[in-house]
Amino acid sequence: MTPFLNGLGIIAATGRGVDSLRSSLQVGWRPPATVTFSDGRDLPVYPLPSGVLDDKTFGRKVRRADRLTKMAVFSAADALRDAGLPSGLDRRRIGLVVATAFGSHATTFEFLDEILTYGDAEVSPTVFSHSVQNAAAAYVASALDLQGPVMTLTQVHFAFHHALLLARQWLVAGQCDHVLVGGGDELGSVMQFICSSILRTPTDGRLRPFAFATKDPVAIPGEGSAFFLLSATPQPGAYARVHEIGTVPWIAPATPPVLHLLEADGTLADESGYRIPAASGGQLAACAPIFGSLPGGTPLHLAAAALMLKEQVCFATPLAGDAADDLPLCRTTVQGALASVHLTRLHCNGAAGHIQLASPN
Amino acid sequence: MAAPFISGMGAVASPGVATGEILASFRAGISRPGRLTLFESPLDLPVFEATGFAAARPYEDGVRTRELASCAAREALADAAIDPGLLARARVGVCLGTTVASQLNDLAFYRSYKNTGSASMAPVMRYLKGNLAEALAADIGIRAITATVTNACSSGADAIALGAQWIDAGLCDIVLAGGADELNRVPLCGFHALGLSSPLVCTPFDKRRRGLNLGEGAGVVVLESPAHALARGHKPVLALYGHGTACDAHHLTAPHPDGRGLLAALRRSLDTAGLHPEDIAFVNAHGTGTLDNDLIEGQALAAVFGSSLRVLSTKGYTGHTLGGAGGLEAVFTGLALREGWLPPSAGFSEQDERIPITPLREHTEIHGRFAISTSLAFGGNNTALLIGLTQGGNP
Repeated sequence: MTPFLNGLGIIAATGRGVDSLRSSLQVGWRPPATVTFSDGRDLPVYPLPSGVLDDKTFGRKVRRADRLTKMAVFSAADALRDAGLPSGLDRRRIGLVVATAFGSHATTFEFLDEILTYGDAEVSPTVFSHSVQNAAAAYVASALDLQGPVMTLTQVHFAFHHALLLARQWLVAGQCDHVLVGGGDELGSVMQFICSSILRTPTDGRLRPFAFATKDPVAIPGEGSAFFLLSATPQPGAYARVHEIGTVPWIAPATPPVLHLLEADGTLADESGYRIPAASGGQLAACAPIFGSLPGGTPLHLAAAALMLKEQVCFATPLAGDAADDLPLCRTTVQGALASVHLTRLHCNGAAGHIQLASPN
Repeated sequence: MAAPFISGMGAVASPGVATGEILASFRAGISRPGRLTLFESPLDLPVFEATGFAAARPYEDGVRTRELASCAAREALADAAIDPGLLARARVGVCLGTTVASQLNDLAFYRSYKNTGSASMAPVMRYLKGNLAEALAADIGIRAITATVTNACSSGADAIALGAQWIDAGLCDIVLAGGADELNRVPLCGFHALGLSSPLVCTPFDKRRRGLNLGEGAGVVVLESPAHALARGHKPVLALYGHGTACDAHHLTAPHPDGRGLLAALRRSLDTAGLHPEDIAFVNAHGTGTLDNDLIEGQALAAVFGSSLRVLSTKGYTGHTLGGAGGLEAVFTGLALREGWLPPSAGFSEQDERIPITPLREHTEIHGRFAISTSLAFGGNNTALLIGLTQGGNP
């Protein structure tokens, strides 16, 4: 089965929704924001635009939800709405798979703060329950009344690939008619500190994901969430079909893609392995400079790939102007004749996660 | 689709290290709750530590979980007669559920950050390299598809269901699947704050139950495609005939008052196996000992299977091992089917008239072929695994 991506919802540094994503891809590189630590160090970051989570649609249902959970609820709800499914769906046959690299870490640290501040016997039960890794999935299921199977996968690399595999399997097995599948990560203050300690970040705010030959800093942390409504049959306005999903050492796609979208974002110490898929033919593009660097950022990149296929346009890679890149990336936006897009993300252990989308028509 | 075999099982928890010790504890009716020794906390609550488990390293957040998982996985592989050479030739998956090992719960790291604005990155790097499924694959020395399931207390059962789906989809020949969790200060504080921890030894389904006791452990099964097992001449005794998962879509911590999700999960597990309620010899219930869980679960089980169902909770032997529970209880279910007997439901003595099932009070022989293990979780997750005896090694 090659299921259809019928709906898309995204919240990232690009803003909320498909229109904001398109606009960002058209505009290209924008400078990051800056976080300044108490010791005076600066960290460039790509956070969500302010106010993007100020949505009262779900009222009390998300009143206590944390940042990651709100990102998930709103982007999942947008994906469901975007698909334009008829009303009266059997909610018992809609599944949900949420992938994350780090989960609700800000709430986890908030709970650790409770222990240190108030002691073991006086901590907040609400903070604890929201720190559990499947809290975001629980909120999405409750807010959208999804009564099918619900799964949360937590893994720094490839959680989303396994989520997409599982979603497809639920459709193949007839367990679900539709599956909302997506994921994301937040960038809380402690994570910003961690990023400032372990990532190489540029001083000029310019992300250079493909400057393999240089030892310059390359990563700028970001945050975001994207969800997709995956179905066995297409809806009018479907984005794409999912042809291949896998996590193995890189192999050439069975059907050579028209476009390779490479997820290089500077989070690996050595990303020169992206040269391998790049050498297999087809156009090359990337989106990391508009999302920032996220090990679990595949849903965001897949959203860009799906939009390109639906609108038959290969957006120019949003590079900083002077980026000295080692790959012949698409530098101008090209309209038309985009039959397939192959998404590749590398793991530091040499494995590659890949997803191939094809035009739904 | 032929049911995946359960070619091997391994477990470690308070009742023992390895399934043989655990069965001996069950047969003797021994339960070993005790005081917390692994780390310091002012909370004086009974816990079920895996005291017989000799960890390779001093207690560190997340590392003990990995060691527990590795212990159970190695037993399961040996039980399945799978050696490194076979693993190297097969398409292998590792799919584990956990709660503690998925979070950066290191208090020393956070204390340093909070007090000084700086902290050692050692705990962060340990966490980044310690994703449970990836770490187990590395410990065993295999290249594998890996996934870490974080569905709270149903994680272990959901990981087994996910592993079965990898086999169904033709992605893997063999999947190591289950769950693991260590005793950790974060959930100890959290469950106490929620009012779900009992100050006494837990008594699942009992009228006087006052909550759960935390435990630790790991339960891992080797799932294997029938074609792969038969090709190597292996004839497993057990198979995973069905599984069902459904969400309450109701509340973050409370079950749906009608048991909506659990009823759907149970029915789906029966449907996927092509079985009926009367085919089920017993249910190994989630049975935590909390007021709400046991009430809703007991009512849902009675609604599907009737009030004469043979049912037990093993939490009175292990405590609630969170992400490990679904894996452990799948192993216990398989062991009971294989051995033909069930231990008494530890802690149960007085019937709660609102709960229309009666857990076993004594050692009981069973003769049926199929059984179900249930898992309920925060977030409204409900999972039922339907395990059965094969027919002479045929699925």
